Amino acid sequence: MNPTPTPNANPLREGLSNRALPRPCNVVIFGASGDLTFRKLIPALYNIQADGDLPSTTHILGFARREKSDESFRNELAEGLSKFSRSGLNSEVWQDFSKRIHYHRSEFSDEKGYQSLAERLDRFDEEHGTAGNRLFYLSVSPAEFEGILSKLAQFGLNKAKEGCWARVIVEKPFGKDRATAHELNEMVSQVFAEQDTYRIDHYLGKETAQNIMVLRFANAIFEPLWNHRYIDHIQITAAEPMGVEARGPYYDSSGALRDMVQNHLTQLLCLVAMEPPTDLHADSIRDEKLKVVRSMRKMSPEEVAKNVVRGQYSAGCVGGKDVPAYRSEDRVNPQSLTETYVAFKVHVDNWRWAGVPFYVRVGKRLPKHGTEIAVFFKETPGVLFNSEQAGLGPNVLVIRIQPNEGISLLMHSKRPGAQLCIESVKMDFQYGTSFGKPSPEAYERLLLDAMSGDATLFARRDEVDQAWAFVDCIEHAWHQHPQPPPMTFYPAGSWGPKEADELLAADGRSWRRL
Amino acid sequence: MPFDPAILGFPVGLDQIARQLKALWETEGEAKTRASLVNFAVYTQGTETLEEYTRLIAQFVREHSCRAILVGDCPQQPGPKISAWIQAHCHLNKAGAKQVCSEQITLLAEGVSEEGIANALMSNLDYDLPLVLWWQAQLPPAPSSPLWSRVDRLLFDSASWTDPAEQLHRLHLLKAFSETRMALSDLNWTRSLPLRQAAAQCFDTPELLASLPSINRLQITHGKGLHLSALLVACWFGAQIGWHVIAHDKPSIHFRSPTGQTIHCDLRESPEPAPFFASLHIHTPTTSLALEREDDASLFRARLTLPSGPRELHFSAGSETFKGLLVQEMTPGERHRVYRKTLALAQTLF
Repeated sequence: MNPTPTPNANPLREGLSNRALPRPCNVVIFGASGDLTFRKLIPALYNIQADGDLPSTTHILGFARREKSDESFRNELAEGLSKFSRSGLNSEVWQDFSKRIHYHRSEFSDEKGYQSLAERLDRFDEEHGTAGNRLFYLSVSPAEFEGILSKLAQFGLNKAKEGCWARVIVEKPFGKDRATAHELNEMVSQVFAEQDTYRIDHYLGKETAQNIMVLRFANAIFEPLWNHRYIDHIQITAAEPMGVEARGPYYDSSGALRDMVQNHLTQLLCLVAMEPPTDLHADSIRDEKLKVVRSMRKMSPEEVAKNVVRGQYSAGCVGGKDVPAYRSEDRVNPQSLTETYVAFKVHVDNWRWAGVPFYVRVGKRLPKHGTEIAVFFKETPGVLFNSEQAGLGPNVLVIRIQPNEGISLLMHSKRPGAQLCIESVKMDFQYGTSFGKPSPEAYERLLLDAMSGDATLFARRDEVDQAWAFVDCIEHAWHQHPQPPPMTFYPAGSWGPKEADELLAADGRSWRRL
Repeated sequence: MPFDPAILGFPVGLDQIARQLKALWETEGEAKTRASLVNFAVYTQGTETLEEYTRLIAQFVREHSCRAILVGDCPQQPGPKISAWIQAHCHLNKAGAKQVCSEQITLLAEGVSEEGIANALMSNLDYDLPLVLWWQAQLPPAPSSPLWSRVDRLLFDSASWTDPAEQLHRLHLLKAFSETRMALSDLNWTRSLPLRQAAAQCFDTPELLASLPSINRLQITHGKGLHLSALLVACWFGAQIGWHVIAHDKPSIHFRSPTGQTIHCDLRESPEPAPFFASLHIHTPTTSLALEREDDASLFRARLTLPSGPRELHFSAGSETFKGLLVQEMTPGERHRVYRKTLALAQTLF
């Protein structure tokens, strides 16, 4: 959360914002005609501009293959902004912002395209005083990384001038497994130093994910209880009603485990389980997260069969509409064995979490959209109020990542009246209620951080590597073991296969109802 | 009375406020959530502005949930008498969601002492929440009321000060009296934020940044009667670059930089009707910056003259409405340390 100090700091900047202000730079988006640029990146940059945080000299250059002019590119983006910008489209802000957007047509493998890119960036530096700071955003398939990175290196675009920087933002997936992630990281590290490599995980840019550390380490009431003595177990859920939509080919080669668990859910688990860092510097925080992911108990094929459930949705009904089975989705293999649902139990083998299971589930075509972390505390002794008949149940602290971002605490209270009747009540904090101003989108925060040199909310190479080490054990048991555990099926619109319920029932527990 | 009390909500007895607020929440039909992050007290003299501030509070609570307490002080009226009203300001936080409400208590004090008003205000604070007091008058000469020791943040507008030297002295006394490390929030300072942001961003340009230590002339053109606003901006430059004052012959100030460079600073009132800040011009031996705002334009236009050639930039000029200033000011930040540095330099001018 503390950026790298920048040389020649401008003293007039002090105190103008409560965050590190981004340095003037030119942002180059590879894959600029893609959906991410249209829906997320440009709306994020536009809102940064609308909030007055985008340096006035910063220019954005879209690099893509399709034939477009600056003008037609801008027109398309304006249309997208009116749909996807959280603050809408203000004509005055757009008037200034649009002048700073440019289009650069080229094949990713065309040397001439990079030659002219380098010349254009140099010209921007001269005309706008951006001093050679460059941020490259690879919003392309990983198959394109090598070609783009090698060309950036060939034309010296990865090398910053003295006192300046050149950074790269890499979108997930960071490989398909540990070996390919290693290759990918090697490839990136040959061109950009680790400190200039920003692996984006948009979950970490969400306000509630950032609040996990504040909740734990800024509130004296939680941290003393945050361990195996008081916590029974933790559930992490990411549910979505959507199917694979247009992502069939990608998803069929990936699956829920690689698509969601290796990155987003592991990051959330780390934030919940980590020790307090020594300070708020990016590496101090990432060091603690790394210890957690290293401590996640790796599973043998037999343990995978016992502790992991994989499922795939069959035809069903979601939101009142009939939906097809996964295998009938567009461009999905009709015999696919790709999981659209995963539930598993994992232990974090360290002192704090000894004996506390973490249950993680993620799935598509579930009844509701929601990502949350539920911390189940141990129950009070079975005397006085919590007798066997009363069965009060545990206190549960729920951190809602999305939607309705907030935190709730389930506790017990006496119902008013002469009789002693105890009810569970919920104390609920909602961001939207307490803080009227809408939270910035995750990409806004992450782009600002990358421009300010703050890598706290980006995954470090060793974190990614260790997350793959955990996931690879499961993938191995599923796809390479002679006796793989069976694929289970669940009707679209249900809460997943019954085997997932049995996983918790075997421990005398059940999934929280969202 | 020169105002319509209907806009203030339900009249209630002073000793019935808490009970009637509870009843207000219980009797409303639809599901509502009462939200409050701070006590937001507004002190104003007379009754003329009660309607205006009630409307302002209704807008403000959409972004900052609070318990608002509006105090109208009429010391010349026969009394002592305090009348009270309560109401809720509700809005939907998003489509289809529950209504979120903040409550407003209005106290009209007629012929009541400072202690009496403080007592009525303090007995209606929401427990545990910080107290933000927006003081819409000249600051009191000697703080004695316990209210001042309870204020967490004091909002005021130095643009309305009739005697800046005296008011700065009183502000110093208030700060010393406070037991809560009272934060000072000068709306006049907040008003200059877009100008300061624009100027700071211009100096991100390396050539201009390199010439920052050699500034030799600064000229600010401001709206009518806003000399103090412009003076604070000049002192901000001084405090941030390390200048000290060598002479002040109003409307000019002469600073000296750490390298011995003399800086001539002119603060000019615009002869034409102008917004708070009409323009800022900065000169060094090799560069210059002209930051100008045309009437009612929502943008500042910056023209930079640099050794490498001219450049033009645009920046948002922000909001000058009280609502915009309040929302901006209630957003936490590190601005106040810089304000204190600026104020310390400004105090040497009086």
